[in-house]
Amino acid sequence: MKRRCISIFVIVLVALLSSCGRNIPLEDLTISLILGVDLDDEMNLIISESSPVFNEDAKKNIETYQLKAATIRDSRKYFDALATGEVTAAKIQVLLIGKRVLEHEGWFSILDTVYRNPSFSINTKVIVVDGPVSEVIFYEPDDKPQMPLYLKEVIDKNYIRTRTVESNLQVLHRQMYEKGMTPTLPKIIKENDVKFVGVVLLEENGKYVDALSIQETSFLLILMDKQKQELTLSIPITTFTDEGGIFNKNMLSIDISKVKSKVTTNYKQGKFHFNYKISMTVNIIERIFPKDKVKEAELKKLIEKELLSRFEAIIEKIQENKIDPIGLGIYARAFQYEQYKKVEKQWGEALSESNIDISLDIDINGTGAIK
Amino acid sequence: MLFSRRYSKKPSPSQQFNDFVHQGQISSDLMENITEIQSVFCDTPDLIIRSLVIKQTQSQAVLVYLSSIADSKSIFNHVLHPLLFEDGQDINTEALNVSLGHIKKATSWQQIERAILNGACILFVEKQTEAYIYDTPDFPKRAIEDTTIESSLTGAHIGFTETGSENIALIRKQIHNRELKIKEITVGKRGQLQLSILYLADVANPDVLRELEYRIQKVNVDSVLNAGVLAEYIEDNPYSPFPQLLLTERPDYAAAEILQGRFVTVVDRSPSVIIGPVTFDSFFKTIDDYSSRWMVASFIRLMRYFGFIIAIFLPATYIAIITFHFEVIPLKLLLSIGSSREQIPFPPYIEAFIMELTLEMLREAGIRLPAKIGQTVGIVGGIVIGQAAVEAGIVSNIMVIVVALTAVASFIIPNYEMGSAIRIVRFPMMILASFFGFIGIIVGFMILLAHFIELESLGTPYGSPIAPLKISDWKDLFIRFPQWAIERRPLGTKAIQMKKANANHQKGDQQ
Repeated sequence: MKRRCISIFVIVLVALLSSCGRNIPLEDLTISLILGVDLDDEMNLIISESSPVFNEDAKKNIETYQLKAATIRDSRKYFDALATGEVTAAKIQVLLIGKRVLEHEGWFSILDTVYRNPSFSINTKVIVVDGPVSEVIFYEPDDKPQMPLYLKEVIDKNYIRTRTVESNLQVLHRQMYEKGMTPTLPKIIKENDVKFVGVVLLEENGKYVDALSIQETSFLLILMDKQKQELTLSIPITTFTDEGGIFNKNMLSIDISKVKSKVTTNYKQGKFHFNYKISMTVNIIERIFPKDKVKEAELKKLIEKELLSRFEAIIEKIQENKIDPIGLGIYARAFQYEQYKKVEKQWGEALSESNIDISLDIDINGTGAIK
Repeated sequence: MLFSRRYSKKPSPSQQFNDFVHQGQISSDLMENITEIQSVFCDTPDLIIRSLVIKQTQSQAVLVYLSSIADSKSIFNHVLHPLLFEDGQDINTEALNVSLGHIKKATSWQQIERAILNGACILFVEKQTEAYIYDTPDFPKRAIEDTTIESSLTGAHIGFTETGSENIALIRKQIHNRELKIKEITVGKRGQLQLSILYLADVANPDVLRELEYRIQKVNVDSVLNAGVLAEYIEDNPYSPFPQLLLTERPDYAAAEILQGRFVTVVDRSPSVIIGPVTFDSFFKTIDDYSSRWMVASFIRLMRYFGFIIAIFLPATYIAIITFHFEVIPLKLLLSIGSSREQIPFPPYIEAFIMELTLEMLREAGIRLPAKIGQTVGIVGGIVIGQAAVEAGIVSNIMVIVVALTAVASFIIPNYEMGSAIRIVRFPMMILASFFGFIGIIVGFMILLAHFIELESLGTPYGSPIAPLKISDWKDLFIRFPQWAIERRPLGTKAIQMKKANANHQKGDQQ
């Protein structure tokens, strides 16, 4: 009995002792939702942070700070000096990186703490800002939810609609260290509004090389075989002599579903050959021109030709820049390991010399509810 | 030292309670017997001593009984009248001419005293060293009514009453079988209590019966108030929050349990009977489960287990999340929780304790109060908890939802004892969560699980179909299989006759 009482007493004491540590209720924290990394004109590192304010007396429901700091972790002490609560990184939704940062090689090492510190959320979306990050992070539109929510929703929605690549910290990390692939990140721009404009293509070392528009990104995603929902494309049928006039009378919109994208990898005559076989089911959803202008069989060919030219444009862009956002290097490593191993270090170059063929097979499934 | 001294103290002789045994035999002298009776029952105004001359034998006699608990009418009609007016020449002269069924003879004062206190009337006859005991009790009793605690939709609307013999009759009404045996044991020195263990001799395990009997016989107390008190004396682990014996006021449920091979202990003067051995899942079953269709019953049963988990872990999880692990909350919920928590001056665990304790007090207040005032408590509680506390910024909206969910989840458990146990277990969980967050909850859960596995009920495993794992018993655990699929009694009862039905499933037209 005596022993039992003492042991209970000790357990209570131990519980009290060891729990003096950090337990802060969430309303007393400053929960960063956006983290911004940028360079200013004198090439100083600028870290910015935005977090919600729960207090009812505060007029704004979000507080945003921007400051010069040596590293991301270093910035925390300055944020702590500014913010009401303890600044915590555990719920960061969006990491904004200025395009200016990407223009310098080796920028990725600045994100070290994001991966090393386990309290960082690995699901954080990584977004590139074309222009200064501060313009986006301080932007407070009247007709939109808070910026972190808005940015997250915009990227998520476009990802589901096959318009942008998957881009969280985890994926970025993999893409950076994967030798057979180069990173791609979504890009936003602040004009009148903050809007999503496409993706940026990075080199193996992370340096910015080129950008793709929204529609080009969709084609890139088909090549990556990462198509999500039905994908809508509006394409002009270029064979018509007239240009369509003010009502764009040569436009055709199609819904692409059931895409099958298969790559076969070969190595012949000192270079890699990638043969794409893409088959897709297409529904015509909008056709501005009259029916009698094109026959159905002809229409199919026209669509195929149009889509093929888009695919080829992207592949050309990729080869020109000596990058590999599709991840064809992973295929090469899987099927032609010995040859791949030789060129592993200069994979971008090897890909630019390789032969990428695309054969497209579309099947028009429906032409809509009206004739 | 403090504790050891206190508990090693030996009871002094004066603290050992009196056995109240009246030694000695009755005398053949009538006057001596009357004097003895009067000395034993002094200050007992309802004691009636009636002298008479028996017509049959022409001998002096005295009739003694307690008028408050003996049935005066049957004494007049069936004892006094025949003794006074019938000569009984046509009958055997040995026995006295009394028109009653239950007649005993006694020689010791001990027996006589007990008989008088049980409502019998005693006949002392001159020059005889034996007294006649006529069983004529008439204790005040309640009529058989609908069950009050364990109400049921489609089950029988009959509940046990405070009369032991009537309760046995209610069970016998369900099981017309000669194998239904009754073992009688008396417990309590001062308030002697008649216990009857009912079981099916060819089904129930004799080892378990021996254990139950042994435990009851070991109870050596002044008085046992009711079934709950007895259950506490004989249960396996008094330090467990979980009830290890099931108390029920439903005869149909008790009978069903007897048919499964369990033992039902009817406690006289108590409106509930004790069922043992039970398993954990017994507390999640109702008689309605068997009278409704199996899909509905299974759904409701799953909800009860879900409610069990919610009621134990939800407030603890709330504390843990708000205090330690806010990362797991989705962003939009985080923003709304943040803004509702912002005005609250207390840390989450104090907030949770305030609300949970208020809820428990309200619940308890509602039970004991008369029905008319009880409504007021509900309204006051609803307004105080639901609205005013939130508007005054003492608790957050989310906390109110958590408390309400917890309350609903604990009320869904059909057994009151188990429901209360869950409410108790919740509080240590909340303390652990406020200290250690999720790790604390997991540790608490592991302790609970370890305790659950080692628990026994009358020497049989308490967690039976789950731990030890007995897959064949799962037919009546989370999912209630159709009746025709259950052909065997549960293994947990250790019944000696397992099969209870043959394959009964009928498909299509049989004729």
